Amino acid sequence: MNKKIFENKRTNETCIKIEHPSGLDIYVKPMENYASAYALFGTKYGSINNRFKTDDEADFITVPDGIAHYLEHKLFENEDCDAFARFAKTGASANAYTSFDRTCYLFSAADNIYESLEILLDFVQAPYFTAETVAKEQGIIGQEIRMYNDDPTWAVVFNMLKSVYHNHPVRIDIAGTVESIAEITPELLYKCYNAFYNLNNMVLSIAGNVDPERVIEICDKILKPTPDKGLKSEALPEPLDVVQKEIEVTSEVSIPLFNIGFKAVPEEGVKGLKAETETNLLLSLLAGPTSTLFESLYAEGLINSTFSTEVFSGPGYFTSIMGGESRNPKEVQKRINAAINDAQQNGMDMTEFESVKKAFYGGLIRDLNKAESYASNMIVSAFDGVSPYDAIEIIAQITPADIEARLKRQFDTEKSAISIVNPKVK
Amino acid sequence: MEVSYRREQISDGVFYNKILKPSVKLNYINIYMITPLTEKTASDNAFLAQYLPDVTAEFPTLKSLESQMAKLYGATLSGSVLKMSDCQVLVFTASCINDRYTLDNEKVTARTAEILFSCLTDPLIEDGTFDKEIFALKKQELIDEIMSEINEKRTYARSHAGREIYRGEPAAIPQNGELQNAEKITAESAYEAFKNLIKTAAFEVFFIGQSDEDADNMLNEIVKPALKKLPRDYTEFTRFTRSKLKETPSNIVEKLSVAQSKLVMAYKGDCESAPVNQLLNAVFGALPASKLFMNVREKMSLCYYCTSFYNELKGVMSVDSGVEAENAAKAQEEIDNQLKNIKNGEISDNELTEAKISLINALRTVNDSPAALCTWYFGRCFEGKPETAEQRIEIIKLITKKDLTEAAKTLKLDTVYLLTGDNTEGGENE
Repeated sequence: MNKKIFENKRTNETCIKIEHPSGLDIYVKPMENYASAYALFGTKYGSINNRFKTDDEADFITVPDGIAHYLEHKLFENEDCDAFARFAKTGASANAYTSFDRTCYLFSAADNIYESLEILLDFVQAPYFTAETVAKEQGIIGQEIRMYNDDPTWAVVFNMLKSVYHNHPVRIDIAGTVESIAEITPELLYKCYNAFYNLNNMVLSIAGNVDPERVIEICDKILKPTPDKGLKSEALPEPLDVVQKEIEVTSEVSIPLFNIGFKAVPEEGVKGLKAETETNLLLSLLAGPTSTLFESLYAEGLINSTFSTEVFSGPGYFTSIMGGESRNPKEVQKRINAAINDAQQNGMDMTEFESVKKAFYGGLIRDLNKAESYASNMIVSAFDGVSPYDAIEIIAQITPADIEARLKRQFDTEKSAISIVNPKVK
Repeated sequence: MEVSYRREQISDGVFYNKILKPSVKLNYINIYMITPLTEKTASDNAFLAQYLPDVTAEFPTLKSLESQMAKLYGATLSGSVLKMSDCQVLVFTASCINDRYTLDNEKVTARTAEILFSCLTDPLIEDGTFDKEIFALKKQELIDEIMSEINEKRTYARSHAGREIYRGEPAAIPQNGELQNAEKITAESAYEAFKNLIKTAAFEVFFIGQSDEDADNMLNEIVKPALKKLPRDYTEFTRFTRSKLKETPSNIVEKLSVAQSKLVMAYKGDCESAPVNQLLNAVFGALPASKLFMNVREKMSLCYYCTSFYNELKGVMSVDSGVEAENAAKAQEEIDNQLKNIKNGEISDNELTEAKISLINALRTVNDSPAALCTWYFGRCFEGKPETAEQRIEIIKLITKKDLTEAAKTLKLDTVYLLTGDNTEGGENE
């Protein structure tokens, strides 16, 4: 079994990676003076992985929208008992989530940490789907979908993604639709499970009050090795341009909500992380609270403090997002585009570069302070194919020239879309 | 265990709390200002939480202050408003990375704290009142915040139910005040509210850091000199009264264009033991293993979420659920049944043990999170009942089924609130 220590000299931080013979990669971070531990057992499988093949299939297959999320719900139910009921006996607080590109099962516990870890590893490896249990879940998930339908902050994001992406499944709602989940069968669930819940496609990440040796002992005992089945998951080719430049809907909101997305070509691994980090810093310099753009939009009452920027990226997608509430979203868009064009032609204002860089660096140090964020960072890094401390080094070494270069190649106002949710006229 | 806590009084109504934890990589400084919640003052006070942490005499624009905080490695500075029982609590909070983690050994903690306190001691003043331009922006922002409550239907439903549950009591007032009062704020009225607040509010200052030395330096070099600048005229005030049970339960149905309905129910009771109520809440509905989740959601699929909350100081147990309109009446009946079962002593050994283990686990995690530590100890300061999470654990271990049943028997239905689609007639009471 291979063991590797990741070390960051700048912060004196270390963590351990174990390549377990079962095929699973395990990341452990023992934290001093910590009573509790936080563990994530995840698969690189999210809503975007709706088209895939393994050595068992002759060709790519496409599965119904929302199936990864559905699978997450169903996995909590094993043949003899519910996983929540098992965690209730150890007192651990357990949960799970499905995002665009991963599904994670997690718990936080101060007592019975290793018993809880056994349950976590065990229930995720024990799928039990029958026609009856699958049908029952359709009601609960249908309600969850309806709840999201009432959430305008969710709608504003998905409408933007639908306008930016032609084919990439990131344009599809994570939970699917009431219609798409009606197509889910036990057979399809097993097919997806067998393809993506292969330990070679999974990571265990645990931080806090934890001893790496005991984690390995439990993994030796519980994990069922699975041969690598050569899993391939890929979206249909995605054009560079956007589907439409504008989308507007109405909903129960008080002030219009808006989201502007700038589409760019995605990169992977350390290059992808560098692109994400540099773009985040760029967005902050361009439109963050220390920028002149933010200052003027704010002073004119065009935006309020809900305005924020983020990079939304993953396998096959990369979009820079700016959004918030505004009484005149299109004017905000016009001003943002003008600021981008101006910076591209005349160079970017770098006055705040060092401050913003320090703020980002400080943000990463903050994440080292909590078991939750530590464990999350380790698992996300593993899925992205980077080391847990790469982000710290990228930030520490970033230069204004990196930002200028990024601005030139990453922001094309022609490849952007605005999504607006307007209040109902009463 | 590895955390130490001490509270000392520094003047009338002003306390300094230090929480020390050797491994903490961040320092936190929080100022809690407690004041009675009244309809007249709520919006002006809420405005202060928006204005004060955004501009100061030294940093007269948002941009200049943001830039300064970025230089301090992204130190945070923010204001927020809490409603605790019958009080409004303004919280000004700052955090920064510990000095030893900066890239060039810069000292960031003292400077961060200095700026935090300057929000109260040296706010941005023009011609004897708040800066007119920034006032107008911040006032609009407060109005926007109050109005945007509707964006999140679950919060909206809880807030609207709260007006009915606590009708006639200060706790009925929303934490940011009512919209019509926010619209009436002027720079002058807000400035008057500011002068009054720094004089009359009860203060709890919290420091979380690594060592006694850091905490004492903070107290002597920053906290005491800053607080000395504030003119004080403090008299004790009532922080909480138990909520009065209505003679007949209220039934409120509100229509809005929503796909999923929200049902909120409130029960009021007499049990004054916080640990007993906390455990009762855990058995009833606070956990995934609770009766509400296991039965109303899992077994009967009547709702997507179904959770209970206990407002200790007001003595109110509320249930919050997301239901299909046509299931609302059935869900209400079933929620009521689950409580009846507890009143009849139907709590299995398993349910009791699991609720205890889960609560104890959560309490043992308090020491791992600075935010949870602050919330825990501030909560105890507010109630005036000093207790550590470890002490609470010992009490919970001794609670019996009978204690829970007795406490549950005092709970009586007070309010049923339903937020439902404007095209359906579902969810009316039977």
